Amino acid sequence: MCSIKPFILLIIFTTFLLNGELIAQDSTKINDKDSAEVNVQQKGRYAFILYAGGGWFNYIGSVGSSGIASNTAVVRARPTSTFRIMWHPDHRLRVGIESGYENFYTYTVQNDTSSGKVNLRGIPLLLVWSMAVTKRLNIFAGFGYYLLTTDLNYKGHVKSSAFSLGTNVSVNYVQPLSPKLGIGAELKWTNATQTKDYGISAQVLLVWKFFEW
Amino acid sequence: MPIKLAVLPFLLVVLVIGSSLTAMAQDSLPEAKHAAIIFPYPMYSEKWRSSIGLTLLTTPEDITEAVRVRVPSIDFRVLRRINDHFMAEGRINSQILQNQLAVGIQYVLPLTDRLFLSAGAGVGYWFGFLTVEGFNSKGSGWLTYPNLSVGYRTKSNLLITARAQSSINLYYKAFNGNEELSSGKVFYNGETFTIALEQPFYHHKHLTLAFSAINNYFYWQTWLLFYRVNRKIFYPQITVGFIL
Amino acid sequence: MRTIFIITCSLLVFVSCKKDYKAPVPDYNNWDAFTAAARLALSSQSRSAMEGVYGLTDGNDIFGDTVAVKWSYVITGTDTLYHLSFFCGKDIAYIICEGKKSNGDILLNGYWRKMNGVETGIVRFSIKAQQGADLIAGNGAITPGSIIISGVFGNGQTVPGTSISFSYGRKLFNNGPFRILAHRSGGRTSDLLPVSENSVEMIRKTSEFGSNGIEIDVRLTSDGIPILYHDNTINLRETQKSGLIGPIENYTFDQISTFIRLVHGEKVPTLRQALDAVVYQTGLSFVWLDTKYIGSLKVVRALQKEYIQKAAVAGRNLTIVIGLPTTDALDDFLALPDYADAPNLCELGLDDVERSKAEFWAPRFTLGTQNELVAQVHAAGKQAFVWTLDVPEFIEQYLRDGHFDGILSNYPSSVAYYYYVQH
Repeated sequence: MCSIKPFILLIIFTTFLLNGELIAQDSTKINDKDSAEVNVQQKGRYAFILYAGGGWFNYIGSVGSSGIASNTAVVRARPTSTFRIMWHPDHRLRVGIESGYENFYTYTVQNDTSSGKVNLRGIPLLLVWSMAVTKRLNIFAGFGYYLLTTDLNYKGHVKSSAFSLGTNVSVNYVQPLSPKLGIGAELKWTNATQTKDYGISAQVLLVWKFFEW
Repeated sequence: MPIKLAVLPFLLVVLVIGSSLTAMAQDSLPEAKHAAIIFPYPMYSEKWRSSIGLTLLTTPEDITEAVRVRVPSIDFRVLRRINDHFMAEGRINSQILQNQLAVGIQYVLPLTDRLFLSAGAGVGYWFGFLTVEGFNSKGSGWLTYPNLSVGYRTKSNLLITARAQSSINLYYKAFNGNEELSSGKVFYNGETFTIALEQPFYHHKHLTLAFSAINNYFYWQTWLLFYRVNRKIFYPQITVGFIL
Repeated sequence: MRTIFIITCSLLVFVSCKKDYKAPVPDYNNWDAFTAAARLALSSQSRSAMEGVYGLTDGNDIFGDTVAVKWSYVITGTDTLYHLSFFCGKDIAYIICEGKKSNGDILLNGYWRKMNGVETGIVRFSIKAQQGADLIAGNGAITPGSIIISGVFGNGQTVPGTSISFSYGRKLFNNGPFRILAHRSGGRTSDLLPVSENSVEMIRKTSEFGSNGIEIDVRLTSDGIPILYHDNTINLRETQKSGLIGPIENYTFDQISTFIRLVHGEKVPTLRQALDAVVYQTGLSFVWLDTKYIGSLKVVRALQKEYIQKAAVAGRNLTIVIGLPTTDALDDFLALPDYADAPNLCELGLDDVERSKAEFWAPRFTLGTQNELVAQVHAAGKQAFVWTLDVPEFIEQYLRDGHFDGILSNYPSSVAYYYYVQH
C-alpha cells in the first residue's frame, strides 16, 4: 500500500513556493508606512525577529501498541509553545532556528494489578525557512530534530529521551502594534517523522524585531 | 515503476503547456547571471554559471538502521554555455570518503518570458573507499541521468523549477580486501523528483533551496551498506546552495 | 498558471509516492488433498537420504538450475514439526514445505519467497511412489534421477498452476561442521520475514531458512535482566509504537513486557527464554551472544553456563559463545573470574583472541578473506567465522576462495545454497 504521508510536506512546500509569487506585488513596494511594520524589511536593511508564542497542540498520530494493557485513556490535546529567531535579510527569503515545547500526548493504563501513565513530549530543534506571502502573512518550513522525552509512571518512574528527525510547516498572520512589535496567530503542522508523532497546533505569537541594521 | 510510467504524467503536462506556446526571443528575457543554476534559463550573455552548497540526505531506518542522516555532501555545480539553447553541466558531490562526478548536456527552451523547459542527460561516476578498522573496501560505478525540467519565473526574482530525473545503472564494482564484485548489468535504477526555489537571499547573493524525492534501488551514498535490493528505497534530500 | 503548477506538482507527488513494502507468507493451507492426507513419518535416515542437490527441469527461469534440499525441525510441546527447505541459486529464493503421505506418494505443501524482493507464492509438490517415494521410505538406494519432485507453484495468494520439477543429483556437500549462522536469529526487520528479529518466534523458524546456528543481540534492562534487542534505542524499526523512547536499558523488564511489542507483535524475549527455545525446541548447534552493552557480563555468563549444561543433559550438541565485538566488551569479559573457561568469540585482532582465550575469531567481511590470518587461527586450533555476508556473489566467492568455518548472514538460505551445492 502506498503511503503519501511523507509527501504532505511536499504539497505544502509547493503551495509555499507558489504563494511566493504574490509577494512580488507587495513586499518589494516599500513606502514609509510599510517600513513601520515588524514583518517588513526595507531594501538594504537586515533584522533579527523573535517569535514567541503559546497555544494548544492536538496530536493526530496513533498512540500505543498491542502490548498496552486494557483501559487506556488518551489525552491528545495539550499545551504547546514556540520560540523562533529569524534572520530577515533584504529580500523575501528568511532563515532562522526554532525551538519550543510540544506536549504530544498522555495515556494511562490499567490492568488487573497495576496502573500507569505515559507522557510523550518533544522539544523541536529546527532550521526554519520562511517567506512572506503578503506583508503580514508568512509561511514557514522547518527541518531538523525533535528531542523526545517519555515520562513513564508504571511500577516505577522512568524519564527517557531520544532524538527524532522531524519537520514542521506553519503559517502565521502578524498584526503590527508598533514598528518593532507585533502580535500574531499561527497554525502549525508538527511531524517527528522518525517516530511518526505528528499533530497540529494553534498559537498566539508575540513578534519582536529586536535588532535591525 | 518503469521510466516511461514515472515520467509520463510529467511529460503530459509539459506537452499540454508547450503545444500552446511559442519560444521566446533572447532579447525579451532579463539576464539571469548569478541567479539560476537548476532553473532552465538560457545562457545568452554569459559563459559560465556555478554554485556551491550542501545536500543532506536521510535514509529509511529499516534499511540503514541507526545511520539515518548521512554526512552532508558538498555540492558544486557548473554550467558552460555551448550556444543559445545548449549548455554543458557538471556537478561534483563530495563526502570525502565517497564522491560523485557527473557531466551532461542540457537543452533549454523558453516557451514564454516566464515559462521554460529543458531536457538533458548526464553521466555520473561515483567512487568510495574505507580503509579504517574493520574495513578494507573500495567501490565505484557509473550511472546515467536523463532529465526533464519545467521552470516558472515569477514577476519578482523567484525562480521555481520542477525537475524529473531518471537513473540508469551502468556499472558497479566493489572490493573487500582482495575479493572483487563487479557487474556490468544495465538496469533502471529509479527516479528523482525535485522542486527548487532560486531567489535573492541577501544583498546580491542568490540562494538555491531544493527538495528532492529520490526513489532508487541503489544510491551511491549507501554503497558500503548494500549493492542493490529489488525494491526502491526512498531518500528525501534537501539542497541549499549559493549561486556564485 | 498556478493551477497548472499545482497539477504538475500533485502529479509529481503521485509518481514519487513512497511505497510501503510487505512480503506476507501466503496462506497455503487450502490444498484439499494435503489436508486429507496422512502424517508423514520418515525416519531420520530417510530424511537424510532425501536431502541433496537437485536439478530443476522446470521452473529454472524463476528458481535457477539447482537447489539444495534439506530438512529441519522444530518442537512444539510434544510434537515435532518437520520442514523441507529448498535453497535456490537465483534471487536468494527459498521454498519451505511441510510433508504428508497419500497412497504411497509424498505430498509437499508450502510457499516460496525471494529474499532480494517481495515476491512470494504457494507451492504444491508430490513425489510419486515410483518416482522416489518408495526409495525414500527405505526400499532401495537413491541414485541420480531416482527421486523426482514435481508440482506447481504460483504467485502471491493465487492458486499455483506453473509447472516445476526437481531431479535428485547428488548428496549435499559436507566437509565438516560448517556454521551457517543467521544474523539476529534469522534476519532483519527490513528483510520482511513473517516474524521479528531477535525473537523466540524467529529462533523457532530460523532452521527453515537454512541456518544451523544463530547470532542474537543481548542487552540488559534497568533491573539487570538480559533481553534480546539490537538497537541503541526503542524505535519503530524494531517495535510497534508505544510512546516509550530512548535506550531500552532505561526500562525494567516488567515495563518492557507491558508496553513494548516487536514489529510483528511478539514480546521482547529474555535471554533465558531464547536459550530455552534453542535447547528444547530446535536442533541449532551454535549460539553467538552479541553483547551490545557495556557492563558486567556476569549474568550473561551465568546463563551461558546454565544452558550449556542443560544442553548436555538433553543430549544436544550445542555451543554457546559470548561475543566480544569491542575492546570494552573484551575488558568486561576479562573481568569475569572464570573467563578462561567461558567459550567466547572475539571479533578483534588475533592478539585479543589470545588474551580472551577465544575458540573463535570473527572478522568483518569488508576486510576480505584474510586467508593468512585464518591459517594462523587454524594452526592455533581455533575456528574463524566471517560477518555479515549478504551479497550472494560474495558468499560464493568467500566459500570458494576463503577458508572460514562459518558465515554469518541475513540470508542463511543463500549461504546454505552455495555451501551445499559445492562438489
